[in-house]
Amino acid sequence: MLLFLILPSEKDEADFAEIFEKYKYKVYSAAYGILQDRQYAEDAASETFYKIAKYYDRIKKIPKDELAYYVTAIAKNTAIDMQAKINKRADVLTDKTDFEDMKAVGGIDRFVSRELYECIDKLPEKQKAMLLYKYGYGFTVKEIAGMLSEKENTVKVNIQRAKNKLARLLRGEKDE
Amino acid sequence: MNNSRDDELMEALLKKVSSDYIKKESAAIDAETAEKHDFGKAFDKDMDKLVKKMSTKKRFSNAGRYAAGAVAAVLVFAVVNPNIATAYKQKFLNIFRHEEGGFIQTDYFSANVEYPIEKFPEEFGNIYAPSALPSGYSVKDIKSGAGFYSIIYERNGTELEFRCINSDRRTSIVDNENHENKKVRLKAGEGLYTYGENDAMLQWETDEYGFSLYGHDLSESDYIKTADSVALVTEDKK
Repeated sequence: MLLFLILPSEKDEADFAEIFEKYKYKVYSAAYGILQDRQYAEDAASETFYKIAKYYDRIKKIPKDELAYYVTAIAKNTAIDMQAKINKRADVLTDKTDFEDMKAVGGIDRFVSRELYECIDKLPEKQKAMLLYKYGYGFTVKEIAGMLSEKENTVKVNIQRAKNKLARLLRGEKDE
Repeated sequence: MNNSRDDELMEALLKKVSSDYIKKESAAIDAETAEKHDFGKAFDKDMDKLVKKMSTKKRFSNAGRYAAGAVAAVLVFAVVNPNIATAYKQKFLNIFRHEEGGFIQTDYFSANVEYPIEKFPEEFGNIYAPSALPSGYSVKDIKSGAGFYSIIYERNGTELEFRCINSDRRTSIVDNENHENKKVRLKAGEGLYTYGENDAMLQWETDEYGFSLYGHDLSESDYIKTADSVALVTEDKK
């Protein structure tokens, strides 16, 4: 019985080669959309697949029909980081703390999820990915930091910011 | 009280909406047909290597599970006989050890030293260590401080230190007067090899951590081989 329990179970696991073949053009395309340069986009695509390989043990547990967002979000965020480096500016994200107003989500239950969905759409790419990785895929802050090449604190702060922003948008306030 | 309830609702709503969002976005991305792109040779070569590596890793991972099955069977048997359990514990740590060239290939540690995993700091969820060491070295101690841990190896009274540094707190001071510096190529990327008459240090970094090896009486090639062997020992220790 014990032996049976620990034998390999591969039924629902996405194969890395399969992921690569399925998404290589989409990853390239997502990166090219941001970088507008073939070589840089290939570099970003390559880095994306290395990140996927690094966290493969975790990623293979994502259901196959939910994998596409994960993969393209990694590609976009890698491209954004690369663009920031190319432009010699590191202001894509800062570490300024922004914990204000978290508790001010008064009467959240009156909002419907459709509005929240639309609000998520309006978030900056990186904040959106961090938020969805945490709440949608259930990754830890540490895992998200590794996947998106950010510091854990940056992830925490940005998830908090995203939540603050959603709360503001839900209250109908203008985004800052 | 209300704030707490709002927080809970917000969390629940976020989980639900995030999950829906991911499903819809993924379906939309999967439905799109991406334009084919003629990738460069370097990309193809690099990715080919990565795919092969991942497929090998999977095979080893499965082999490991089967091996674990066998080990579990031994353990079940050993429960009946305490003498077997004791003998097994003593030998378990050397189970993967074998000689290869001038190196001892080990499973994350060398010789008859138990790996005191509790000595690693909690802040390091991922613990890395060399999986190959120059012959004769064994684990002497594991130390940790603010943002780092060190594994001290020893051979005939001479120490070799492997250090893993949290990327947030990485600082390096290199003695330029008595040491030479050169860049070396490692599996993880570029490394800085600083060497003097009696000692040398190899430093490199990944997205996650900074690493260094500091020792005496070793060749540049020893440092590189050791650095290239660094592997993940345990994940999410927390």
